[in-house]
Amino acid sequence: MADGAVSLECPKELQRVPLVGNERKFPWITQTVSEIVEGRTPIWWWVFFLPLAALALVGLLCIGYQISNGVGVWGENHPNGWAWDITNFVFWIGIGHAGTLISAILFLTRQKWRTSINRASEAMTLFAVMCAAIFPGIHVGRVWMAWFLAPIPNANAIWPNFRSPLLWDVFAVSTYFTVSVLFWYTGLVPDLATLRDRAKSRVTQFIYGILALGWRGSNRHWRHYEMAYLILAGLSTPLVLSVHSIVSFDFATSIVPGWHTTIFPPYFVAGAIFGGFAMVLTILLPARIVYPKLDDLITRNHVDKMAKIILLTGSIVGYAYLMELFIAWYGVNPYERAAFWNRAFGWYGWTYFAMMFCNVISPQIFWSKRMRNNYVVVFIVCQFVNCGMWFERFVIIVTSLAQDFLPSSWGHYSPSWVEIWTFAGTFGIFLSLFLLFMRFLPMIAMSEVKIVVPEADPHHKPGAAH
Amino acid sequence: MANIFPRSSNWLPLKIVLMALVLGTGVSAGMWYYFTPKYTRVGYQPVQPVQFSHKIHAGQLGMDCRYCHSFVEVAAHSNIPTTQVCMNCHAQVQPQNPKLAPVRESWQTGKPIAWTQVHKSPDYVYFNHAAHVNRGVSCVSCHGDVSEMEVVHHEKSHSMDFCLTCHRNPENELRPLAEVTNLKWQATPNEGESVSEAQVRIGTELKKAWNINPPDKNCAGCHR
Amino acid sequence: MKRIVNHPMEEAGGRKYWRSLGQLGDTPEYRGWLEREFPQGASELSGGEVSRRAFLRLMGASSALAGLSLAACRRPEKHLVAFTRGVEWSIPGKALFYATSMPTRKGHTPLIAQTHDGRPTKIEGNPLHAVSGGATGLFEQASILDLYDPDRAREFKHAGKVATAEAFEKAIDAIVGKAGDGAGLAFLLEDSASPTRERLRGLIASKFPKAMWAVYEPLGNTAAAEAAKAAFGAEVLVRPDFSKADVVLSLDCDFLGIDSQTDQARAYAKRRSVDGGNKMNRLYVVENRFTVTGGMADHRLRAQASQVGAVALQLAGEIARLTGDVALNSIVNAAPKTGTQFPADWIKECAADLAGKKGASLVLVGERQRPAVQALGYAINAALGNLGKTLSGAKPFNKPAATIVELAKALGDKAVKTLVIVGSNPAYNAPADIDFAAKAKNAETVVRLGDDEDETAPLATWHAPMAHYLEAWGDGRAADGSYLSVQPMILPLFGGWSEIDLLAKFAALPKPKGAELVQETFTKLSGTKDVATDWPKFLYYGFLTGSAAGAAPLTLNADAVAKLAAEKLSLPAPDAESFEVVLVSDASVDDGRYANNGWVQEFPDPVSKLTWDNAAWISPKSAKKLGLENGDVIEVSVSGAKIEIPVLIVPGSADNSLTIALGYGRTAAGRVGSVAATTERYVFGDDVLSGGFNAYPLATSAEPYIRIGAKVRSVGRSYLLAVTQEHGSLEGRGGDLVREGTLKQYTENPKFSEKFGMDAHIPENRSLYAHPPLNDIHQWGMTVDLNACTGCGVCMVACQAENNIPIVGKRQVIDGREMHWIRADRYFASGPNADGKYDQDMDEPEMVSQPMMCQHCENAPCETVCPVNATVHSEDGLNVMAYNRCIGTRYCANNCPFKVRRFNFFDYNERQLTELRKWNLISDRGMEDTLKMSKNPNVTVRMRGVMEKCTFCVQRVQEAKIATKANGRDSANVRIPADSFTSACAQVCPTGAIVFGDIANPESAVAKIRTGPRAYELLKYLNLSTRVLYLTRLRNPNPRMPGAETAAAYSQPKHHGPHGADAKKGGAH
Repeated sequence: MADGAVSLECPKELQRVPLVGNERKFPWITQTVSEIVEGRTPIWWWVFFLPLAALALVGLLCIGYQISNGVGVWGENHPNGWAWDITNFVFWIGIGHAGTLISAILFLTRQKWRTSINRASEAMTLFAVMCAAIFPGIHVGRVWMAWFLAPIPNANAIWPNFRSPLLWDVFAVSTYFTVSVLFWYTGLVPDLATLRDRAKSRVTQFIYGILALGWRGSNRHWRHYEMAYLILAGLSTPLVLSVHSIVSFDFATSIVPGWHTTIFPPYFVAGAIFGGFAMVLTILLPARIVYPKLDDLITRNHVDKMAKIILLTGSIVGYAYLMELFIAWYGVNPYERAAFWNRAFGWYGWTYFAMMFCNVISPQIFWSKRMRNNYVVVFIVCQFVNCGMWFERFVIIVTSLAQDFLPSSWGHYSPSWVEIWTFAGTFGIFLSLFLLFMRFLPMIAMSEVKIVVPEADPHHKPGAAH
Repeated sequence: MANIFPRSSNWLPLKIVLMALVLGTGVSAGMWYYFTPKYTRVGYQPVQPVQFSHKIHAGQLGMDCRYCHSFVEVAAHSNIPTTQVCMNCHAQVQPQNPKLAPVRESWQTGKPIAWTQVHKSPDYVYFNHAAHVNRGVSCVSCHGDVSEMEVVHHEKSHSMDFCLTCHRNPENELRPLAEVTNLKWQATPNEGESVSEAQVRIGTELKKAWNINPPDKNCAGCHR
Repeated sequence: MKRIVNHPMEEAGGRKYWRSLGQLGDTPEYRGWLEREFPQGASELSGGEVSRRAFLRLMGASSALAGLSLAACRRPEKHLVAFTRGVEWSIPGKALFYATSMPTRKGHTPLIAQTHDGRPTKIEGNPLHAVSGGATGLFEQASILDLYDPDRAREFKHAGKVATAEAFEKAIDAIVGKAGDGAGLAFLLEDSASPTRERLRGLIASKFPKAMWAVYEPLGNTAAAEAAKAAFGAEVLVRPDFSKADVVLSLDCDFLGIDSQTDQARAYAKRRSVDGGNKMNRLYVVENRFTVTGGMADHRLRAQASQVGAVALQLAGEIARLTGDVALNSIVNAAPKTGTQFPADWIKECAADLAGKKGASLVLVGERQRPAVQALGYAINAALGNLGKTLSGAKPFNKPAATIVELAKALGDKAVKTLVIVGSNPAYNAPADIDFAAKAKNAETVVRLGDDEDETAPLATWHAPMAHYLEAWGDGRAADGSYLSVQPMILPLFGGWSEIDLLAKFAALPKPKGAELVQETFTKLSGTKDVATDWPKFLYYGFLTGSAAGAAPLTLNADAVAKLAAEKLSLPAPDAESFEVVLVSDASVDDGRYANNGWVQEFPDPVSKLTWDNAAWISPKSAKKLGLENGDVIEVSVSGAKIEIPVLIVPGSADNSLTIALGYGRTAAGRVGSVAATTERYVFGDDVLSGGFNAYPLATSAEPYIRIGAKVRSVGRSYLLAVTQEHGSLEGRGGDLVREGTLKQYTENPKFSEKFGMDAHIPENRSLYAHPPLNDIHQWGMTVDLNACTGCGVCMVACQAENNIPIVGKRQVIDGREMHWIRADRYFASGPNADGKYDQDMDEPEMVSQPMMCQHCENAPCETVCPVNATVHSEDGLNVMAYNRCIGTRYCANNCPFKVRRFNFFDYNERQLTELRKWNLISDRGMEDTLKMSKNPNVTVRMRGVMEKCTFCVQRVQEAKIATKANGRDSANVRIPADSFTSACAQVCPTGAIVFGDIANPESAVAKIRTGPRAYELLKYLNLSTRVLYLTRLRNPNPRMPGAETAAAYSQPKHHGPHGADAKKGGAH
């Protein structure tokens, strides 16, 4: 028997880094994740939540003011018909990509390490998409007429214009949001059941009971669950790519020099994943600090992998930037050339270089493993990336519009306080929603993590190393 | 562990879904009907300051619409007759009829009669009567057979859809110019032809002969 | 605000006056009604909202909204209120047109006024009259808004307290009674071309022989009159005839801009064209700052305005030499020698060119130049044999009157007891040195008839509201001397009196009830036997045929000119330190009289593109020397007089020369025009001041326009200026945008500009989208001839009036949100000099202007991106905008390469400019009702959040189509006759640069023009196939002139590219 055991052993250096640290067992996982929800609300939570909620409120007030008085309260003008509004929209929608990517694509490609981060990143996705959806909603001049966008048969006998990328957006984003919600919730069901079963008070039992949709964990349940999850993963995989491609069409299909570029779809998608992962880390790294026990679930290994993805996508984005410049030079069109010249050396040149540094230069530090494993460095770089991705959208939108074909109609743009606070407000909304999520829902997919611990292996011998 | 929910609640989700479906359908159906001009406009029949009867004047007496609505062929608006027009006849006819008291008063004081508006198109819609009545579209097409109305009411929906239906197939409404104000006119069918078929036949001929092509895709036709 | 046929109760009463006017009647009914209804109605106007509404009902155009019952919430109960009696000519919803004319400083402009149900809504030129020819100037277009200006004087006031018209009339009677032989009675009036006024003046003079009759125009042509008198020995109006002039030299005369007259601009443009076998004329301009005229010049010489005399003298010398003209020679010798010498070769070639065209050349001297200089100009013309050919004389309209200086003196000597001020605003615009306001206090009674309670109003013992020219009977003479009618379109909104009404009282006549006084003048002037038929004819056509003034002979009095030159032509040479200050009339507000008109305030200056303010124009070099940026406030001091004013750097200005427009800095102009009227407040930050700066303190009675030796220092403050065009350089895109060449190029190859810019490299196009069906029998199109367009910008305001375009206020302009559907883009461009160098400082750029409106692309980029189909293409080739479908994503505007789409960022039609940023729930809603009355009922008034743009005046297109169909009845021919109507911009264009019409109709003008060799499409490589085509502009440089070879170089193919050599040349900014 000993021989057999030995023959099963493989050399240390070839062993995989365990996905869950310290050989944690099922009960420990359940306990650790659940107690976050079950325990008393910690002080720090209030400390963060209250100001953020207030910030969200300010944002909502600004939106109210803007809707009641008109888009004029923003800094937009002729020629800058779009500015922060669409910049923020693309920024948030981009962030909303990591979640589905992790849950869907990594799931299909059997990347087991996703399990401990997918729940949180999916939640983040939803909240980001919510924030994103605000902007196209309120940027229109007559919000109350926005229903014209929906293809409803009406007494006017008019349909929306199906040639307009803006309309494609509406469909793309709403589909993406719906599927993401389903995906996220399906994944939640077993864990909700766990919480229900652990719940002490009748009320919590009742609430989680309803949410758990009567999950009993029977074999039949699991079979259906796995199937549904697989199907949803299949559904949302193309969405990850489609949504941001379509968002990029808003620009790519137009004739504005600097927008009119075929490279946009792939580079927007890459950028989205880039920014998305940065935001996931921005949220999870602090979470590991307030909940030290999570170290065993969200290990260095995870951070390391995400850092690698950031490095990869960051470099893709950088390549795209350079390719844009090359094409502008290579295709002799003076207007394209002028547009890209203005990006770098025009009125808003500094934003271009800010973008370049944040998105292309700063991630290169991740070539070094030491840096990837240094949480502080990772966190800082992620902040750079967050800023960089916002600047990217600003550069694309404003520098292209501010100086287009006719010099006579060139015009500067500067944001008004309303725009600034509306944007800040969306961060308030985003983060306070996430705090609520941390507080009331299992932040880590217990059921899925359990699958990837050795214990889950049918050949696992209790008590043996693994 | 004891069940939190009774066994019966297993069906609850399904029930909820069904209920939602029914409700949703009901609500949209309701909106569909009650929030469109078909409901909001059709049948509107306000009380007028003078009990004027189109039935008597246009119907029994067979007066031509254009006697009172005199500018309908030259102007965008089909004008409401002045008190003067009423008095042209009623100075002699039924000079003492109490129903006509407001008219006589208006004539003496110079204070006009405030008729209540029945048909109203929004400010951004530029309907032009002259363009229609001069090109073979009858009053009846939009206002119904007023000569049968004791008190005028809103007969057709006048929604954009309503306009476009005709703008896209004018042949259904076109008639000889002489018959435009003849609210009773109907196309005379040939052998084995229904009235509507006859209308389409005549309409198509006129459309061709008069080179009728109303704006059907051009927003500016009605919205300036 | 489409008009709805709702007439509230009072309507009928309010309506009767129409027929009365129609019958020119003075029926007892009318009189009775006038007493009963109107004055009471007018007095109702004072104060509150409610009474103003009441007033509106008098005029009609509001709709009665009855009961707020629950039913009413869903379907508010509206009322249709017809007249009790039919009103002559009035068909509900149909416009009526009346011929009339507008008094301006330069004589009356013949006009056609469009009225909807008694509301004048649009002014057009009278196409039957030569002076207008269907076009008008800026102020005529804007005068509609003046009529409805809610800040107009509304009350008769005695010592500042509201009084009644009756009391005023009694007071006047009392004055007349006491006046005796008129000693101590003085009148101060504005210049006028009204024969009736002149006739009344005669009556008054005979009744009060000792009364003083003074006329004052701050920008009047007194200097011109003086010069003419000196040169020709008699009072004579000198009129140039451009149709005969092959070579024109303008010495500081902006005859296409602020000094322009419609007919002259047209005549010039005719001679400018290369079509119809015309030989293109040549224009030399000498000026101190860019003017519209300078922009059109083939050769332009920068010189300080104070040195223009020296240029003239140097030129006169040359011409005397070339022509051997003795008289001119003697004058030149008589004149003191000037220190300064101007580029000899420039003067030489210019003189040679002029001398080569004896009798077909024209030398114009600006009327703000000293009389001596102007007289010298006449002498030069005489030497060139132009007198009686390109220069003709005419009898002046009025007998000479006393000047304001004399009046001020009389006031100072307490010789005036009663001062009657009619219109004129001396407290604001009288020369500083005579201190009029203070002296006026010496008069016991001051009677003022004024449109506004302005700066002069406080002086008045009696202040009476003056009737607008659209409210009153009158007459006048056009620039060519022909006799015009002025007839009221509407009863005085505020019960005002006309000038004639008041003067009639002083002539001891009863206040006229109607046209009787004018009719009398007409009878005298026309010598008609049959007034009954001729008078209505006069009113119908708006002018008396054959009444144009005959040409008076012009013979130069050389000795007088020599004498004048000897005494008055001494011009100290400029020194490098001190500045000259040139005071000019403003393109927007003239001498300040139009200051309270939002349309003109927001009208960008044709050259500087500055709105809502004036500024001191300064050359880039001088600004650099003083370290000044745009908006930096400087203190300008000339011999004691001081003003503070921000600078605006304008390329092409002479160094050490400040150009300041008069007419700003009004303190009592009204809510729009007064200084510190905060058009809109920054939420966090300072108010935005507007209203500009008053430059009159720098004017003296001796030197009213050009002051030398001014000291300039920066006060270290800066002021926000609202300029509508941030960027003035073409960035080397001339080839695609503004094509220009020389006459030589054109004659060698008419299609020379075909392949300018990107057009040389356009690959064969493969379009992915199917064309929209363009299957209507009409296809609308437009052409803009850049060769004729002077950039005056009248089209902008005509469009504004026609299409109910709101003003947005200074702050919004700063934010780049002006709403004009058509812009006049202005570029400063310069090609390389002979040595291939570029003009870094933009000292001597060429100025080109380009009207820019929706190009109605057949493949419109805006249409594909609109998510809700709010902007689509019509079968007749219009890019139409359905406002009520628009949700305002602004995507269409982003995708428009011409950026001509305009977004309603705020509810400009529902909110006062001061309310825009106040939270809607707590801010006031609604506009003054008078302003609502000015709207065109055939155009939707747009709400906030919707996109709008040039529609090619689709309302006119539709009206024409409907008319053709309705009149055609059962005919199959529904084609609109060629050129039977046109767009507002095309109609108003003085030079006929804009042509609109049906390109599918071979007879139409536009169809012919767009197939011409000079026609080109903007940004053709985008495959938009635009419906607006531009015609290449041509210059006609004198080949022997230095620098001729670089004319129009900027748009030539060789310099093109994104950072082509002439990119980054600053421009206006």
